Amino acid sequence: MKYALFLIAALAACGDEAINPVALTGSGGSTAASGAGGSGGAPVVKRRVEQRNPFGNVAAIDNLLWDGDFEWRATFASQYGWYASPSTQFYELGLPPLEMGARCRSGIKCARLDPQWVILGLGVASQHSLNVSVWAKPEDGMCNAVFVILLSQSNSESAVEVPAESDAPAADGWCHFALLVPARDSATYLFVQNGGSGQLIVDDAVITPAVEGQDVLPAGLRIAPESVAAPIRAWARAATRPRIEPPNEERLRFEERMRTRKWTR
Amino acid sequence: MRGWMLSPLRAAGFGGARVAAAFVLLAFTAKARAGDFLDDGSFYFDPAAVASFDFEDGVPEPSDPRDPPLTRSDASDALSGQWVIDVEPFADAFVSIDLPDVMRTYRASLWVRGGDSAGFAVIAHEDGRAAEVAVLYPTGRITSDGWVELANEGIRVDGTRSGLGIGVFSPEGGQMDAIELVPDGDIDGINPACFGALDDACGVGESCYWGECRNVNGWVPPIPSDREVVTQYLENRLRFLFGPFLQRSIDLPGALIAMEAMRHASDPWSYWNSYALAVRRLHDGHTQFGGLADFVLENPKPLAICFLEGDADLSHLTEPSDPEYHDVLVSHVGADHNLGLAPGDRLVRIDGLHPIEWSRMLVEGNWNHPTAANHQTFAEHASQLRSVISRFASEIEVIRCNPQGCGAVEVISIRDLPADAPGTPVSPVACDNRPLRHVPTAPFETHAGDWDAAYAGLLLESNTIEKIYGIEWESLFTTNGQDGVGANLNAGIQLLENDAARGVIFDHRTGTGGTLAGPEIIWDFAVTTHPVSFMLTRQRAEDEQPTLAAGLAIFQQAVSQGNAEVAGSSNPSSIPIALLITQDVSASDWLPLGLKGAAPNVRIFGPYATSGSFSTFHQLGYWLGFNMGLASADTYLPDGSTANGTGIEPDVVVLPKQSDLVNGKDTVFEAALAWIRAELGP
Repeated sequence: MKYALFLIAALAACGDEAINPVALTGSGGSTAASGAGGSGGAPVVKRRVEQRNPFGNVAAIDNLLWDGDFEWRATFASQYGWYASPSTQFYELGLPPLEMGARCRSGIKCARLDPQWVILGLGVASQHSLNVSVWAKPEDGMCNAVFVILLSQSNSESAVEVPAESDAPAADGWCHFALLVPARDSATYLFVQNGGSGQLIVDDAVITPAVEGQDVLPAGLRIAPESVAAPIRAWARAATRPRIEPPNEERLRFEERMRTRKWTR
Repeated sequence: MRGWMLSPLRAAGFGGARVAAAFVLLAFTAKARAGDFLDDGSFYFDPAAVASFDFEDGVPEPSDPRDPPLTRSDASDALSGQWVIDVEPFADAFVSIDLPDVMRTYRASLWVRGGDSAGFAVIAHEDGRAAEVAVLYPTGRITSDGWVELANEGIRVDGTRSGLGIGVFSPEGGQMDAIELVPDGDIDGINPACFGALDDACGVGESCYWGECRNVNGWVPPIPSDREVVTQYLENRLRFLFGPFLQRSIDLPGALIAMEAMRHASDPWSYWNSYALAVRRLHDGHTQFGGLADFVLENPKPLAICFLEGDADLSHLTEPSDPEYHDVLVSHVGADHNLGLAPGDRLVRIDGLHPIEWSRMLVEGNWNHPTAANHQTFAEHASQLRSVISRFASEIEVIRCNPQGCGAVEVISIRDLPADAPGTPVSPVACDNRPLRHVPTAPFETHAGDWDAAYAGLLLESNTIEKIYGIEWESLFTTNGQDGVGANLNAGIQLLENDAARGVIFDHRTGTGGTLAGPEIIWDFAVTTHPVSFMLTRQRAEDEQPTLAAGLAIFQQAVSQGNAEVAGSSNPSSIPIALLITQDVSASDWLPLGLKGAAPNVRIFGPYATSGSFSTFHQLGYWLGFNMGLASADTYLPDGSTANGTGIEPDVVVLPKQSDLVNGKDTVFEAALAWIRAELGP
């Protein structure tokens, strides 16, 4: 908690630096369900039905993240493209709590973060500049309480804040964070912190190599202090060390269940 | 209680004018093959459904009669009606459907909400075994009140023979509603007999398992409507993220060729199995593919026989060795399900091929296909024979031997083995590449050690004067030296020091990897501090094999910055130390890497090089249906070369001998013991 507040303060202190986020094209996600509605004398609508791409935002075919849309998370995974921690103490290497269905922006699955929770997405860099985009839906409606940082594995490459396009969410409740950053040499991480007071849904994260002609860099980037970036890098290092661990509880329970179950005809 | 069919109108709670509206809608959906929604969001079942469950009249009996009743709760936002089934975390909820006595295909579906849930349908025959499985994948239909549809189509069932269980497993807990089974096709025949993996009797979407063409179409989702996009996205996972450079050079091209088939596959199995094949073709120890069937399908013909590669020195006159592969021998067997085979018997051929060649051939269709990262050793294949023979072989040829000699080549029909009666116990013997155990506390009968077990003690072959000890273990997983195997491994080292052991054999012949904190325990005991390697996560999507000079610069920088892996301690032991290896991955590769050539009193004994899996991995999967691990890094060695794909050669190459096995001897162990005794002197 203390660290989270520090992180918030540290980033806020950088707030007067010039920011010139590059408008990104649509990420390919479909719009979220708008919820039950109806007006005037119209009949009560019990629910709305929506068709999503069950594979998520695969239209971002060159996404450099392992699984930006959270759709390809294996059920019994122990090592995945995202890690989560309840705080910036970074003691844990757990997986993000999963949200499913209409609360997600694209596809079927997304991540759900309680206050102060953080997640880290793993990816690679490219020889090209990087377009960074991620969507977050804060329950408290404050985009500026969500902190998004793009980091590199090497501490010789600055960690930069990925700004929200606006302080307030769009009508559908989603905040869009986007940035174009110069090419990097070392592996890329996307860090998201819920600094708000309510739950945060995170979805549809995309890091793609910039295309020809798009390498017009913003006038300034908001650099995250090394005191903020270093612990995140250390966490990322721990997440990417050799590790083959025993089957997790989910898997053991399922294996036992399937081993002993009878199927009646 | 049988499944029952509800009127779609009653299920949706309609009345009066809404009924008319529903009929209008249905009139426009003459080919409806699934439940659907009215304009107000009310759900109705497909009138063609042969079974539907919305739990309005109570709950059906669970599919396993020993299970507690399903739990339903009143929910105003139930998808259908007013009741839903609650699924507790880590629990499942399944219902049985008694099908019409016809052969046809079905679309099965259900709706879930809440935490992560996975749906599937299991086809079972009279014996109650799970004979086939179909995973229910998201269709993309979701509702504003949280429901997600899971379904699959074209599920082939012979209703004269089989029933269907359908439901969900939920690691996080959730709710289920609106189960539905709708006929979606007719078929003439189903599940013909087949004679092993080489038989072409099976049709599209079928695979020969246990002598029968079983349906595997249901393991995978339908071909995506945006096939080209999904294919390219998946291809880019391999191109961008797969880390090992050597495999990128020599194996990735073949993997991408496999993926080309996804672009024109005409059935779901061909589409998705091409992706599974691509992953397997990457040929890496951390890079694996698996699926729900591994958990659900029950082997009706289990075998309790463990094989390893060796030297069949007693039977070469009858059957010469293969020029490419080592001989395959029985290491040890369980008390039952052993085909009468015994240690030292030789497995000559499987369906006409050398056993290793036959096992390697299974890469085309066996999702679980194992591999070492290097291209020269096949320990994984030898130890998996026990399961794949039962599953994929039609017949095997063996030579039985005893201390007096060997017999002729004998054919054993696997296809004619009778299925076990349900519930028949099977010897729980594990295949651990150890013909014998040598430490008194080790599990002699089962060979099955726990993940955190390390068995240490005075060797059975030694005595309190000679003081040669042993430690036998599999996992190297520990995060801090105390959890996982750490405490037991440290206790074993402590025992050596407390008892003033004069020599030790570290028996790690099945090394399942772990973390580098595992080998550090052995390194600290055995060798002087020295830099070993530097594992580096894949950096950029475009990176390919670096030059030696570039690799050297990376390694040296890692050393100077304190980021390299360092093995050893300032005051290691000087007693003779032998490490036994056979099958390994990851941290179990690093263990011999840190010992190799690092001290004159340390020697590595084994039949061949280690796997060479110097990486780590991340997993991707799709619901409960399939998952894969993909190696995400490579490792730089002090000379600037990259390590993944090149195993650590033993100092002493020694193969298990048939003549030893039949006499109850453990060749590799005996060689290590002889070396230690020679080092100790008279």
